[in-house]
Amino acid sequence: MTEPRTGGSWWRPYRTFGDTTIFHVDLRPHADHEAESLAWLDAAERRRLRRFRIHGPGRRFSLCRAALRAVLASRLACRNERITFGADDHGKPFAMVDGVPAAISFNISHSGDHGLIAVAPLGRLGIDVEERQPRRHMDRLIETVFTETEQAAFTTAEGRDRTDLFLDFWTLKEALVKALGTGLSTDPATFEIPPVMQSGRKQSTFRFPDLPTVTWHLDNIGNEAYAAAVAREMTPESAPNRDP
Amino acid sequence: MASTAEQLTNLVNENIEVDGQTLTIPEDLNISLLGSGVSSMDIVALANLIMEEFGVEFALDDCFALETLRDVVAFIDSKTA
Repeated sequence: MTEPRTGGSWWRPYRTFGDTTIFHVDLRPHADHEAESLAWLDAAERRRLRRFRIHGPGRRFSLCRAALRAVLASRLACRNERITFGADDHGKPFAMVDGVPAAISFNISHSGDHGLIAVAPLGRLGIDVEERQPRRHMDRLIETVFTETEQAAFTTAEGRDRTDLFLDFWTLKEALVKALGTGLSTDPATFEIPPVMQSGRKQSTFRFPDLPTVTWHLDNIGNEAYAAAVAREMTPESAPNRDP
Repeated sequence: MASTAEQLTNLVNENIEVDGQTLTIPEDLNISLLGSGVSSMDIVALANLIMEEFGVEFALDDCFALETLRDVVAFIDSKTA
């Protein structure tokens, strides 16, 4: 594995929340970027890449993983070769340096041409991005992943507005379960997006009904191209009104 | 009467696409949908379709714990035996 140049050819900082930085990853087809990304991957990642039977998902994996490695190597001030990844019982990845879990939190998501990486020194993170495209099974999903209160928001939404609302709500929920660490093994219908965010506000806090002692910052970070959300575990450092 | 494997293969072919392409599903169904680039959203939708098609409870924690389509067939058969 050779050390490629460290310039962010296809990734760049997108948003910052306290000590959490969100990077956008450009996943559009690009021969040079795809070739360059391969230099960042280790042997296991290259084997995983070869298992993709359709090119698009492989390209997204390679570009996202390379960008993640570049970001982590910079944050951890170490060479890319020293970084490996483990996964917890639910498959959520974590970074290791020289085989030891690293003191850094991250999460990653991609959809279509867009990837997002969230990185922070500590606290659990969850991020989700969904390209703003019509979804085949949207109405069925609205009935099964949203609560009755959430579903009520769809009664007057039609066409593009309905799709946008669906994707906004979906990303908020998936960011939360990814932050929790369980992913969609946690039924999204068992908890509700903060009412103020159902009404369009971009930021709020959240607690899972069965985990009331943990508070999460929840931000809608989407734009015209994609819906996106990030959930960040509230830590003493990130809590509002903390003592100086 | 179609086997569970045939029914599930048809269900996936009719409802799941990656970049506008249907997946090539091997005969032994030893394929991971997530590992093939299928989105988590489509997998949740597929779980709902499986419940309808086969008349079984298929909770999301069961769904995401099963790695391959072959595992899904075994799960469905265990519920319908």
